[in-house]
Amino acid sequence: MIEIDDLSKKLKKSDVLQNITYTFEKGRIYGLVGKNGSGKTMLLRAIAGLIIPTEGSVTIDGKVLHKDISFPPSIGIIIENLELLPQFDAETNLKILAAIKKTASLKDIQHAIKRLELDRFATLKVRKYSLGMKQRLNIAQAIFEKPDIILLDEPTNAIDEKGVERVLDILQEERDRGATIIISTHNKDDVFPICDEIIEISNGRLKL
Amino acid sequence: MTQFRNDAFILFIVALIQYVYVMNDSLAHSSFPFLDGVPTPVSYPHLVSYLVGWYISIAASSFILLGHISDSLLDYGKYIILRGKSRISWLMSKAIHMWRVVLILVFSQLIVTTFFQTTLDSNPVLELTHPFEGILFYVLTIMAILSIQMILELHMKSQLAFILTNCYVLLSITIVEGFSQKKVLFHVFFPNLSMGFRNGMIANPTLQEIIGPFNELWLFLVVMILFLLCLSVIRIKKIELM
Ligand SMILES: Nc1ncnc2c1ncn2[C@@H]1O[C@H](COP(=O)(O)OP(=O)(O)O)[C@@H](O)[C@H]1O
Ligand SMILES: [Mg+2]
Repeated sequence: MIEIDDLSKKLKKSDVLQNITYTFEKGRIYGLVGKNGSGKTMLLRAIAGLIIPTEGSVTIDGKVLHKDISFPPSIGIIIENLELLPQFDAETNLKILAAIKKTASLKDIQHAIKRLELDRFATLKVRKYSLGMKQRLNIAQAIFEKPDIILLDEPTNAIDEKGVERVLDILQEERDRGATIIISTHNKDDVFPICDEIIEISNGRLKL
Repeated sequence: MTQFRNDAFILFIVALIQYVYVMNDSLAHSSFPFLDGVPTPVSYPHLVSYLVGWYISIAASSFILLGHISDSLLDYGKYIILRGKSRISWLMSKAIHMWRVVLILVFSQLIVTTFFQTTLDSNPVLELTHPFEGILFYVLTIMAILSIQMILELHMKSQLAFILTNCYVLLSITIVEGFSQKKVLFHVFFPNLSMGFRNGMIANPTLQEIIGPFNELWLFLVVMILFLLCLSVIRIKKIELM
């Protein structure tokens, strides 16, 4: 469970997040919808512990970020356009990340790659991936460790229609496993069908 | 792998410079020339050769670690740090890696210089009276220099941190004239403490300074390293990962 309590963030005197209070439950998919610059990425960063709130707090399963813990202990994330290491193939990339927490087995890695239909490109280096393939690998990166919290920042960008359907199926499976999933998007039609709740954000405020 | 190749190349250059240094008969050196540093009188002949022989390893370690902190807080690094236990444990793993780099560098220099001198029979002309302490001072000083680079990288771009750190090192060892009257300056410009010529590890009264009791000096360096680590811990807890 993610509890956000009166969260505000100022950057260079501009309010990028203002008085946000919201609770995200386990086993649900939330759609975070807003225009460019409305604060979607910033809110996801705050939940991930990447930025420090100016005021208010984010609590993960009873533990306050930046006080009890630095980051949510079990989280998978896609944010902005982070890329994996171009000189390696998909499996090697995930193996490198898996070595940190040591919670995912080789089978988990291969399963995630298969779910995103990247197993066809098993030996291809990420350098040679198309944008859509990179995004699929990013999604595999976010889910392969079966995290409790999955944050996806505009995940359907660059992925073709069939791919989007695949991704939505996967996210529903992850929800049914009990994960809290937040998907940000500027176009709610993309993810609308699978969301249990839609939250609108504009100028750093939630419209409730 | 490319990272490994870069580092191996840098180590090779360091070894090469050590070789030139050992083989140059006009340079008076001890049995571990990389510990010697630069003689204090600025008028001393071959000053630049001494400077290069000492500085190359410092620059190499600093260069190997360029971006080690700040670049890994950006982009891909977020995938790593988010999987770690905490911000502090991430920083500690970085500090441990720094120790590893320094120890590998120093160890390879020990081996390389011993090898050159035994196979090429170039005899040391200066007596190194305290080889163990000399190495200890050398390791601690490099570690303290890299700790400065670390805290700077937490505040600015890695290239700027690299340049500032290296300017400080070069400044410290070139403005040393007159320091013997004011010994505290050796602490402010502590890179001097790594040099056999300046910390008293070489038995040659005309070339060396006696700065202070050994115990006090190495303790000073340890405190310095811990202090910089504390500053880095405070900083990492507050840094925005955007
Ligand atoms: N580094 C920064 N410094 C100052 N303001 C920023 C910074 N990054 C983003 N912003 C501002 O924060 C607001 C929210 O940005 P963001 O969360 O990226 O929007 P979204 O993801 O909804 O498009 C924007 O108005 C943007 O201009
Ligand atoms: Mg955004």
